[in-house]
Amino acid sequence: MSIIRILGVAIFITVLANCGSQSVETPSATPWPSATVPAITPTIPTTPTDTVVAAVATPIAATDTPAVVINTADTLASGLTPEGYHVLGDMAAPITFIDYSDYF
Amino acid sequence: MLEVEPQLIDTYVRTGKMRIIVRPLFTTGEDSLLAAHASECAGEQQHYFAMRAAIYADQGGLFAAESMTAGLSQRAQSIGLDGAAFDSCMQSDKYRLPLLTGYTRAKESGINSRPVFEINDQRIIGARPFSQFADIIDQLIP
Repeated sequence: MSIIRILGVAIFITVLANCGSQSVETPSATPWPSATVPAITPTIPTTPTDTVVAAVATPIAATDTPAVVINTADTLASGLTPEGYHVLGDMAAPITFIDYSDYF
Repeated sequence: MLEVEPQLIDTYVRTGKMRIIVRPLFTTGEDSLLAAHASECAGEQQHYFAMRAAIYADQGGLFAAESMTAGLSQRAQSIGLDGAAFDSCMQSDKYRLPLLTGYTRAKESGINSRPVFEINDQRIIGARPFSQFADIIDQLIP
């Protein structure tokens, strides 16, 4: 009986081993792994591209508020000439610089 | 002038040696007049030069706006002006006549192109780099 049990166990183990090897070979024999890789590849540049777009958007927003130029002018004295023209700087300054220019 | 004016301000205006007087021209028409009007309206809130700088700094944005008036209103708000007061001033059109009068006076004094600058009595026609302005101004400083 013991020999029969041993043989039975051996046959059972052999069957199990065969079943295991089949389950491992099945995926490796199919093209799924290679099909999965190109599916992932296009998604990789998507994230950096989004980051670049966000970085470009930041300086565009910054140009909407030229704070440096504004502060330069606003921290100085200003007034009007008797004719109504705007003056930047000390009205008693020795040099007068008149700027005749268009806005555009 | 956008690049040169800040240098002139830092070097000569901030040090008390020079004052800058703005005489706007309107050779390019209605949009330029609206921009000058917007600066006058900003002047009512003590931000004439800030508005002028904001207009110079983002001309592309102004022309890309729904309208020039809308773009100027956005600039006014971007520099912290009271938007309702600014818009009301713009709608009043009250600076149009004084601005056009100033333009006529400029033309009568021989200003026929742009830009033109006068440093004391010396007239300079056309844009110049900062160094050329500095050469003239330095000779005039007492």
